[in-house]
Amino acid sequence: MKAKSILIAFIAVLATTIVLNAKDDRITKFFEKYSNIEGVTYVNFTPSPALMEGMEEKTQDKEASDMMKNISSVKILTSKKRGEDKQNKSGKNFDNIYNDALKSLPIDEFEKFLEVKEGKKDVKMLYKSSKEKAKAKEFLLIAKEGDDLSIIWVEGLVDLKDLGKLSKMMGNKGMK
Amino acid sequence: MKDIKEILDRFYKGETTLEEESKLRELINNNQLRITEEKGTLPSELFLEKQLFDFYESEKEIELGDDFDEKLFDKISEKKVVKLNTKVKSLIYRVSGIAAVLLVAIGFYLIFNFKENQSKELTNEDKKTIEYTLDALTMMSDYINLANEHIGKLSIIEESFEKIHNATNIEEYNDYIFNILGEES
Repeated sequence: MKAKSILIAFIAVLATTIVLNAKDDRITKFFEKYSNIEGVTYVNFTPSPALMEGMEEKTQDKEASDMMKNISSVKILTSKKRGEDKQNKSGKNFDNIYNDALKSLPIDEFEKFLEVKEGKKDVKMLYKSSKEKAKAKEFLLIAKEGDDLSIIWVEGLVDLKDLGKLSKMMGNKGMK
Repeated sequence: MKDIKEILDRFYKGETTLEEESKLRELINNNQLRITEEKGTLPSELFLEKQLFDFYESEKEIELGDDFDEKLFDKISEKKVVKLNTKVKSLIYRVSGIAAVLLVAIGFYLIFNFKENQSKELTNEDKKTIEYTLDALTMMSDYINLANEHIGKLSIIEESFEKIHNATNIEEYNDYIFNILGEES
């Protein structure tokens, strides 16, 4: 009887682990699927001492670099429809990726933070809340702005206030 | 007697031939000079020589047995078995275990530290990653600010509705609205 209980508990833990990993897998698989597609830029940021040092150098702001220290992973997919591409393969990829993102990414597991629908602009910003107040543990942004598509996934404990300050910091440093 | 003394002198100087040494040994050992330990008959100056030659003779008689080499090598190769008690043994095992773990940990640290130091130079790929990541985070930051802006506006509207509800006369509400518009512009 005791052995049976231990076995059931073990299977339950194993199943939970598999399910939790499968959720993360959906995001990873999506990004990997389009990582080598024509007209798509894929960036996978996993903090290493060298990269963090480079970040600090670029931002030259202690507050910004402190916030980034809490980020454990950033995955980015960007695509741009150029005039001549609109009807060809990369133009089709652009639409396929956007539609697939809405279908394949685990959007239902996130909470809506912001949704903008305005002309050719269609932006969804989603987050997973953490136990800490005003901090998110994951962010997902699916933004189609005219001919630009950006899909960004950020993992790590991020303070919304600090992230909000970043654009001002970068704006002052002359970033895009 | 005189000859003997002369040969002895040369013996101590190391100038005697093998034949002379043999003759000397024969003369002294065979008591041909009537050397005895009794005083009076023993020339005192030859007494020490007699003892010396007797010693040589006696040493000559000592022979090594056939099993001497075997015994000697057995002694050399003999292992000393030191019995350690169990407490000491277990302490040695523990210390060895800790030392092994520390060694592995230091090894890993050195390997990773070496890699880190090696990767300090940013590649073009790294620079691109930093650029894109910062752009992506800045974009998210813009949207957070946009959301905050809207929330701010919504709170003003909400407050306005509350004012309408609570206003006792239209002038009071108008003043409130004009104040907001003044602030906004």
